[in-house]
Amino acid sequence: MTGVLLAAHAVRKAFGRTEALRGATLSIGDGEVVAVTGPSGSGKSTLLMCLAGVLRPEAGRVEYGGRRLDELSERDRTRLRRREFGLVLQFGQLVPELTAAQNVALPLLFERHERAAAMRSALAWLERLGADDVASARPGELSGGEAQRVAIARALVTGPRVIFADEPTGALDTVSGDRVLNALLTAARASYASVVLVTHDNRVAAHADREIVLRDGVVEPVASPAAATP
Amino acid sequence: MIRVGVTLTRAGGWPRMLLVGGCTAVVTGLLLVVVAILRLPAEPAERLFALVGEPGLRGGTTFATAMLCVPALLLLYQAVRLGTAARERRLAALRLAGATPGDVRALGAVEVALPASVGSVAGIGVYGLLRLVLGGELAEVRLVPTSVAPAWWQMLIVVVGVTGLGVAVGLLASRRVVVTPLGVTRREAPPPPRPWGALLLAVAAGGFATLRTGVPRQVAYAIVFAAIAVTVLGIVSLAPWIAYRSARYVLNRTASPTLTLAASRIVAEPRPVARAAAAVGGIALVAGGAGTTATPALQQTDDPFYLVSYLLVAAVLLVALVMVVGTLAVHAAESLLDRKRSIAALAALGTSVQEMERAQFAEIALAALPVAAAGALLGTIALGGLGFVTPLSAAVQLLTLALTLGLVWLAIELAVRATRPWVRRATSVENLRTA
Amino acid sequence: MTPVSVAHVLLGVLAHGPAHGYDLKRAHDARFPSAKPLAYGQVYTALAKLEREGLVEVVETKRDGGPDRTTYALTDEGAAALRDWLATTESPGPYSADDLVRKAVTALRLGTDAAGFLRSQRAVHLARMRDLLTRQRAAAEVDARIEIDHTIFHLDADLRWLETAAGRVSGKETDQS
Repeated sequence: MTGVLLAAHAVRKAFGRTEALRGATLSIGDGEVVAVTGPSGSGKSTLLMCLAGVLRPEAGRVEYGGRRLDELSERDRTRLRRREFGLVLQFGQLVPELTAAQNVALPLLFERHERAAAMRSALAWLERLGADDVASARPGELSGGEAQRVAIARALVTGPRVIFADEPTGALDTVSGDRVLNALLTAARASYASVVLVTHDNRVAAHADREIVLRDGVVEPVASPAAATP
Repeated sequence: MIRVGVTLTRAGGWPRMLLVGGCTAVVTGLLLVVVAILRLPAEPAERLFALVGEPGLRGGTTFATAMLCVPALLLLYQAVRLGTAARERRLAALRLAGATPGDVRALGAVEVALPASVGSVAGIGVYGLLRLVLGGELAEVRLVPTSVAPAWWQMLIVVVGVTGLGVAVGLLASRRVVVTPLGVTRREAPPPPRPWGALLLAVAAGGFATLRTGVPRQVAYAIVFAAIAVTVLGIVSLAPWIAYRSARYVLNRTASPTLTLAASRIVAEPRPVARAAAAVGGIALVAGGAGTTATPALQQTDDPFYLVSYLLVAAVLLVALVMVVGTLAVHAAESLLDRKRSIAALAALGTSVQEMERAQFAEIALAALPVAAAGALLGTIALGGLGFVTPLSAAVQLLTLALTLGLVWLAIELAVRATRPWVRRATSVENLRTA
Repeated sequence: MTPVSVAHVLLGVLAHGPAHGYDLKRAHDARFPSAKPLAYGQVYTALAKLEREGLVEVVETKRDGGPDRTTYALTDEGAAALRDWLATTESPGPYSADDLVRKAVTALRLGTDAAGFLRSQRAVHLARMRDLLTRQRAAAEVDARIEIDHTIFHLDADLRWLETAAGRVSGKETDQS
């Protein structure tokens, strides 16, 4: 856990007249697993998308590795996301016409990898996540937990430095959810990747090293240590 | 009931209504021209271009004009299917509220009948426009007769007939909604297409072969027209198989992500793309045939008849191509609307809008180009036969092939450019919301 | 044995002003409608202990042949003890849920800063959950893991209750007028 890898300073983001983020400030360290929690509508997903460079804030700064992420062109941000970031959503994120293995290999193909090598990497990652038995199945044939593990494999296949996960276990039952979460965090920690995990589930949040609570578009102050039980 | 139908029609959106109306207008206009031509006496009172003026050539011209309706009807089919997912949900909600399959079918019919009838009536105006531009004193080339016109009862039949045709196409396009009451999208892949169209081509080939034996002129004409029609049908039904096979071939070999996405899409659902590709195939067929017979025409420089005729054919083909671009654009927009979430996810992962557009292009090109090549080749063989080839005629045929494929490529580019705003909309983060 | 936190609840009631034992029992039962009503014996035993510790004092005694009409009041030491109790987080666990509830309700009635309290309590609960998860990963036996699961689930329930309480306090509940 060395320095700060990803940071947001006073980020503001509105959709029409609704202000989703009203000056959010936070930082995420190298290799850290951080949970972003808060009530529905607090702006968690918006914050995630701003940190990942998918959305551009109206005010404030987003910095990745010391560079301004929000000032990059769309083309540069797209390339950066492809190489350095991984994304896992709640559901419905895989290409339904491709098999699981092809879905996982796709980011590598976009990085101009050779086809056979890409498929080998894809299968290796599916095996690591315990999903190699569904490699030739299509997303429509998979269970929720299986599909999520394929999505995690896809997020990790390019060796990203940050994984952004938006309610990855939200659509799953308790047992599958635990399995998926453990698979994600084990794989991420093994690659020394940071994880930004948006969740409203306390048990999921407890898996992270640290919690950032978002309320009404702002980050809540951290609880003072003096209040701890003697 | 009618009121619900009207509401549904409006819910379908303006673009859809306009497309449906536009198609029926074009078809009505063309058919009215055909009727007018057929009403001409053997010796017309006015000076008309030879293709229309001479009774011997009239048959072929009316046939060709009627064939122009085919791409318009294909576009109509595509237009009715636009926004399918949302339509299915709307109609499925009606089923849940207690509507019977008959009710839903009726509502689907009303949804199409309204714009179709309006378009049909507007088609009379289209006929008037064609008459003005291509007929009478001021026209460069007189194709539409002004000395005769369809009788009022003939106009009525055409208008009602085209409306009915539009409704029939609409019903055909919506039969899946009636069958699955809960609007559940099937998870299983449909069975891969089979090359039954090859049989039709064999029949057409047989028809052409009989021409070698001596047959009376009238019978020969009938055989030629029938064989051409069967060939077109053959291409249309072979299109899904050609698209599927070329996509399979690419999918197993390519390292390009855009080709992978495009090919997998065709393999998963070959029929929608193939419909668009089939129209292209039909046009390429005619182009190929025209190319074969062009060689003697180019050598006859004294009589302008041939040159003008070929220019006309070229003009008509271009018009048809424009209509096909419309079909392709409609298909592209539709396929984007169906896959918003996975497209938005790919964009968030790091896929650029340009790459998405390349995938769109490839999805259509992988199907349309092989079908167009096959069509052009068939057209060449059908009209030119497999015999006598001179260096000049071979060059002209190759040129036609290259030109046809080039124009098809251009058409696809235009269609994909036209749907750029839809691509942007599909990649929006909004599509990833779960709330 | 009356829990220590019940005594603190009584201190919380007395912070509003001196009261009889009977009033204290009624106030307690009104604040905790799902709990078992306090017995008079419990109230007086608790008051006696608090008096011995110097946290409450008797200000008035009336004996008209009827029930005891002793009025109790909070001392300065009692007020300090109450403040300390409210400022300290409860040790997280499924068996301390009642204490947690008593503290939260008392704090809210006194108008103390609920947000800060809820935040601190959440941090402590999460830390305990994190700790339990680590132990669970290291546990070899399935029954140990199951036992830890039980605690974790109950901590989760407490946390969700804390969040709901925060919502109700800030007036964000929708269906009650």
